[in-house]
Amino acid sequence: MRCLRVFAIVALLGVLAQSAAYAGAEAGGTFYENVLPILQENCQSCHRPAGQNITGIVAPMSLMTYEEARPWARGIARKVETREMPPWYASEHTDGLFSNERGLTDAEIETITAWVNAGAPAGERDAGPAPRTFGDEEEGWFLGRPDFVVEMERYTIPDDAYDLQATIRTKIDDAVLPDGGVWVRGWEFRVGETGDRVHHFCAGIEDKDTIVEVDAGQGEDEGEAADRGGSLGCVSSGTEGKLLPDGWGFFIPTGSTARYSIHFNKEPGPGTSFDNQASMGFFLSHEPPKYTFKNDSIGNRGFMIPAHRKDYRVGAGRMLERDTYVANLWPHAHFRGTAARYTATYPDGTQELLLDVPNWQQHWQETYWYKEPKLLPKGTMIDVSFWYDNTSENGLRIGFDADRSLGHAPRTNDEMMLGFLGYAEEVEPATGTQN
Amino acid sequence: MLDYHSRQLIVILSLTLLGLSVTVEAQYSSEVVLDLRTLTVEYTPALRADDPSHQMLLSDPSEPKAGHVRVAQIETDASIRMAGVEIAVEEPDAVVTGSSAMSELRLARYDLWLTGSSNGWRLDVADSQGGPLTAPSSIFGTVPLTHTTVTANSPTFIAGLVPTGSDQARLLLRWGRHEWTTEVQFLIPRESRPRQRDPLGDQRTFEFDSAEIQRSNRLTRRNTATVQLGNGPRLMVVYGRNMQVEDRDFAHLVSVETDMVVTTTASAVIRFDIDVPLQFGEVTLNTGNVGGLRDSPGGYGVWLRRAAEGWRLVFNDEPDAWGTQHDPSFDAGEVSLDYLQGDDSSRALSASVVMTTPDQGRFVLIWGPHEWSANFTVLS
Repeated sequence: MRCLRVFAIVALLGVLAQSAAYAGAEAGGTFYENVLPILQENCQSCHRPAGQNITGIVAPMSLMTYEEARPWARGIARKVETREMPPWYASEHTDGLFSNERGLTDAEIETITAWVNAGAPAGERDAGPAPRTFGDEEEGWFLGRPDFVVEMERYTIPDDAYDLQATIRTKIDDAVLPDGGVWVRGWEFRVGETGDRVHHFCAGIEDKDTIVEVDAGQGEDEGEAADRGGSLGCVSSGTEGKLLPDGWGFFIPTGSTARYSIHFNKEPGPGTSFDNQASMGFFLSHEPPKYTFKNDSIGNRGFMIPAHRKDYRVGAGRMLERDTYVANLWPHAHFRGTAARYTATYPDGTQELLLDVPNWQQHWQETYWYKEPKLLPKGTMIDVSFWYDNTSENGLRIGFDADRSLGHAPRTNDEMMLGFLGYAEEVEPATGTQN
Repeated sequence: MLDYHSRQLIVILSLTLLGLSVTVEAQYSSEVVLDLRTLTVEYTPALRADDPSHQMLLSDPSEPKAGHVRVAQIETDASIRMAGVEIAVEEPDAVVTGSSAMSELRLARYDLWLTGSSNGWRLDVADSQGGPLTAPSSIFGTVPLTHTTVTANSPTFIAGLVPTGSDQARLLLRWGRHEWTTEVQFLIPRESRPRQRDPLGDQRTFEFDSAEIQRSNRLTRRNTATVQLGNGPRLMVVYGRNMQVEDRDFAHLVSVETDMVVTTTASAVIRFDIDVPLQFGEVTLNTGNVGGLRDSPGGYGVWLRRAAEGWRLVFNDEPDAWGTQHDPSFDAGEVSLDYLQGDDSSRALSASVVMTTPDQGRFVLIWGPHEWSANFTVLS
């Protein structure tokens, strides 16, 4: 009898404790019901298992399941409260304009912090959405399985290399470019299995024969390559794969060569050598596109940033010779870049701030994709400005020598000032051949 | 430990070397880089106008006396013509990026002899030779000079190059109250930048000179005009290449409204780098205006402003702004400009500095028929 009484008390206490836990969960929400939808929508495109993340440039942890997210709960709350995550650096001025805009609402942030404050309970699995899938889960392509893949010649970065800018060209198999060539509606880059050592990866289509070459800083940079045409753009940390806007395409003629321009970051030394094999997946356009996509840069290669200088502006500009539909903007600099801005001055003299990145981050080089291509009429002047911090304080934080004055050169410890833009000129039907 | 005699020998040798170093005159130079082609004239300030050995030659401004003095050396990495004299330089091979071999720059260097005769003034271009010479050993060609008598006396010889278009520069010589000029023209366009070093070693060691690459990148789109004052300060002007009179930016120059600066859509603002403070009229251009260190060089953006009473030169503390990005809040000062209308209306934009006396110089802007200038003094 005494045992029964003890059991009843324990059971009652258990029920009371359980009730309290549910009450807490209701107050703070649960992972499956309240938090998982937010993570799926805003975080998991990057925070997936290593090797399947964006282009292979990996986020440090996966947040696909409760078991994966729970250990990081407090860190997640801290990052979202400070709006450090999800990363998005354009000012509020352009809120709602870009299709890849990231950010949480105040309510979403509150949901996450309340969940963490309540002890980060799992809740009922059935109360949450089905696991999110991304494109081609099996092969790890973000946009789905490509129609054809062009793999780079495997390349070995030797022991004595550091901060190496390599340009490697690989002939594209004519079998995937029949009938004079194909139109593609998008592409996705994968930096290969050693993505954690890739600073950025640019690519293009050329008509050169297959050669493998290494430019240890002496070769053309991605801006120059873009100026020559055929550029597919670049990816770095934070860049998601994107298809072109509806009606846009890029023509790849039979006989083309793929150009991989990859910037590898590593320290030199015995045993530091590694292999890399980047690849590009292409998605065919099944209908003739209306506009031909191009990529180009508005840059300044003559600047000289003084030693120990903060807030130093370098500008560049271009007047548009034709009506131009702009699809994306990608401001590119190196270690010392702190802010970037694109401004349009229209033929009637009015100005529009196209993009303002007041807290530009070298390790989050976002490409800003317009939801709808933006028409800039002929005669529009596009001004791009970058600001740099070449002080010793910043040098200590990031790791550069503030005693140097420096100009345009390829190493990360040198600088660049390139305002890329992806665009289509004129409202002309594509003719079947690349302009 | 060194013994007493060894230490004494070292002291004597050190003093001897020190003595030699102070007696060696530093070479002064003026250099222009026009569309990737470099032309340099070097001279020494040791040539004094009051030196008795030169007074006969310089005594009569109106009528030169017979005589000659080696005054400068000219060096070029591209073929040039001075009056009827052509100096040929083999063009480097086309540059192919990547693993292809990169070409070596070829250089031609000649002595310039200032020569007076009953036929007037001329430059004798002679094979470059070291050591003191009293007469050219082998004259390659003869360049007639235009002579002017000027008011500002230059106690030592000075040579300078003033770009006057995409392919040409004016060679200006000053000595005493004499000024001589002739035109120098590059003969062959250069499309790509020549490389000066074998990159193969770089590929293996991954060591390369960022400063040289930065300079090369700058020169793919800019021209420069540089004055080097011995081993000391340097003054350099950097400006956009191929700013032709047919382009929209020249049209803007013609139509710019009063009180507005001339903007250029196709190039960055003209950049003026100084290693020593300069005085332009009432305006002092200090060093250290853009760098974070007190002794860092000065860097200025230079804008042209149309004023009611003429043209003015505006110095601005943003030397790397684009030509449409003038921010008046960074203006450091402005001075009035002297203006000349020339005969040649086809000249592309050029900007330069040239010394006119050992401590005075002139900032020169040329575009189409327009030629503006402002005098300055080098502040020690």
